[in-house]
Amino acid sequence: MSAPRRVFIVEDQRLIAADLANTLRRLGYDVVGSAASGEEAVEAAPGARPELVLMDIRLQGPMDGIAAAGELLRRIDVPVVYLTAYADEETIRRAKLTGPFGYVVKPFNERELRAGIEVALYKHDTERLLAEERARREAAEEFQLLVHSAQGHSIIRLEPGGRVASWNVGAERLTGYRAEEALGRHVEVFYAPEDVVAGAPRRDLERAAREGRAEREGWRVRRDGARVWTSAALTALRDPDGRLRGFAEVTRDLTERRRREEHRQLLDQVTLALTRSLDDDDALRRAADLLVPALAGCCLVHLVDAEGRLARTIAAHPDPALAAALATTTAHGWDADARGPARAVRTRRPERHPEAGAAPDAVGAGHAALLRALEATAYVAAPIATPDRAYGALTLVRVGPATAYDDEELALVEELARRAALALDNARLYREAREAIRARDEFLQVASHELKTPLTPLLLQLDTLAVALRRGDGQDERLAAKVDVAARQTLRLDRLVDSLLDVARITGGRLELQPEEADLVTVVREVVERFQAEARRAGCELALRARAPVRGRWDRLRLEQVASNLLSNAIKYGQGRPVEVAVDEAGGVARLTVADGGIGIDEEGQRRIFSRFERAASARHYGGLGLGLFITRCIVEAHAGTIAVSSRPGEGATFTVQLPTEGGAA
Amino acid sequence: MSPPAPTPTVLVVDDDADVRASVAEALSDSGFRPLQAENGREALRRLQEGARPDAILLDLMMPIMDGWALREALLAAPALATIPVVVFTAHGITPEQAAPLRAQAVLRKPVGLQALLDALARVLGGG
Repeated sequence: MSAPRRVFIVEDQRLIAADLANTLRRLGYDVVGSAASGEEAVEAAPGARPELVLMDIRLQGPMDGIAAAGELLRRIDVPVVYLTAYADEETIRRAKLTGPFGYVVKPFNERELRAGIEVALYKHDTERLLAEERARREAAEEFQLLVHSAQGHSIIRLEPGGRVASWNVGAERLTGYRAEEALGRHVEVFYAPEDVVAGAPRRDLERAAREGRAEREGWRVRRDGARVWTSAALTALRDPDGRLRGFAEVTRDLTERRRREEHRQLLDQVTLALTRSLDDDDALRRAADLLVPALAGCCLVHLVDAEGRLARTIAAHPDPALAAALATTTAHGWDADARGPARAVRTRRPERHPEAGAAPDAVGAGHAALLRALEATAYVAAPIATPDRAYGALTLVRVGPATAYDDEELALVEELARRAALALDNARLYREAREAIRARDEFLQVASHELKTPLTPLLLQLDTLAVALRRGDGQDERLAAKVDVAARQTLRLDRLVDSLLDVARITGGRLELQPEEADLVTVVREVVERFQAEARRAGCELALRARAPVRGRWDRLRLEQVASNLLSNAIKYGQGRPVEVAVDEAGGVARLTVADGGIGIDEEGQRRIFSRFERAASARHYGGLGLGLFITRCIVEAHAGTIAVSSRPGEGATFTVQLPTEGGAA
Repeated sequence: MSPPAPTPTVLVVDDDADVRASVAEALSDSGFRPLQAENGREALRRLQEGARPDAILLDLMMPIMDGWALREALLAAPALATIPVVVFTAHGITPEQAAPLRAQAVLRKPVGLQALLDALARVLGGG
């Protein structure tokens, strides 16, 4: 039983209004309010939410019933039934304009009143239903039109079982199926076979039915077999009573976006592979392997010989035996053809077959037999070249049924080839630089050997001579002293040769160390011993102060050189005053100090002495190349150490070398 | 300084004739009996012919057969492997680089007479 209909009464005579209300209640209506004037009706009726208004035409006041009805209808949609005792033509004309749903002529009985009300309610209900239905139909038609013509999205409806029930233009574009081909098919037809095997379509439908919605990003397969990367959303459609009517599936084609991302990633990976190895073939092979199968069924890198002919091939193919066959046989096969990699190298322009837009077919006559045997359908060949030099060509071959290379892929292959050329260029420059260093080192080895070999007999002859002279009658003591000087100068020449070769080495690159476990105290003590004779000649007292061994990982011969250079300077510039040498260690840092009481070095000199060819003292008074402290500094720094001097003119100089005991020398 | 009696024999292997002669003369003056070879192959031939020096003074960089190759051949022959070897080279050589030579001493050219005699005395004394 539906609820009593709600009626609002507008009647200016209170007694009649009360009587009317009673009658209506008796008839089963709900009187939700009443008004005694037009103004009051317009004010109060909307809030009472009546389903029908009984309106007396003749009302006291400025607004009669017709005017009140007109005003009221502007505010709410409600059927108005006029109550009137008589009606003149003019009143009826005015009343008609308000679209009344009925008239009840006074005096009326209950039956007439009820009939008037019920007819009005029925008419109004019907009109409303019709209007709603029309609006619904129009909206549905508009929506259908919208859905159907949407090109960017596949929007389809599925039956509860998963069969296609509606199809739009976007679906046709995405899948390649026309509506008449698609309708009635199960949605799994559009899924990738591996997803169908894995039960994905069924799971998606079940999930959408259970949770209302299911989403999936993945491959779909077009009618022509091509794959499309998609994002799909499946939504369950239900009756008002909750019964599953089917599904709406909205699918977007993300292939292009995904492809661009893949291309970017591929480019990054290939660039990394190219730079990771300095061995050309290794780098190119790694790069080629990355491109199969992402971009090609097989990938060939042809490298040219000095005359610019294709000479060697690096091949990548999933079948290692085929890759090996491709590597040994393709070069001349392609060379014989007017097109392909050979021409790409010659013209420095990419080659593509077939041209973009053309249907791919078996790569035709004139191409390498092996490629035909592979059922190659398309290829691109891009020159691997810098503006100065052609290295070869990068060729990607599509195998089996596939599409021709498009412009975007061609651009990618060109970029890949360009990066390969840069990597090959870098590797070549590196090899050349390394070769130059090797040649220099070899020269220094030979130079050292050649310069020192004559010094050996010279020194031995002088020493032998000195011994022979001393063995004699003593008359030759003056002569023996002269021979000693000659022998000393020969040793000095030896040290100068060492210095020059060291500087050549240091200038040409890093000083190479041969680190070993060593005790700095032992090293320095041996050098001090060696210098005792020279110190005596210079009238210097030479003393070493060291309490305990100071061990570290250093190049022992180079540390000897450091100590020798500092001692020889201290004696040379020491003015015959005592020279003190000390070795100690604190907190993982070994320290060697050499202090003399000689001529000293002014501030300006202190800034220069560690540079090449510099010395603080005048070259006229003190000989030497001015290389000793430069070499010393280089050796110390190669050990990750430091060297410093503190001095004042006339008050001697103290040189301090600090070396890390661990992990300094590499 | 004085060599062990009676007269120790030293095989001097060096491709430079002046070096060989100077060393030989110095050794001779100091009571040694020097033998000479101008490269590794020559030295090996003399040894294979029965020469048995008390020590070998060995240059490294030589044509035909260098010091490294000779040392390898010596170490491979049980009769020759025990002869003490003093390596005598113009190159700076680190202990690590010298290790495979298994030399009893390493001298750097140019070398003074005293250093040469000290090294030989050490090698022969210990041998």
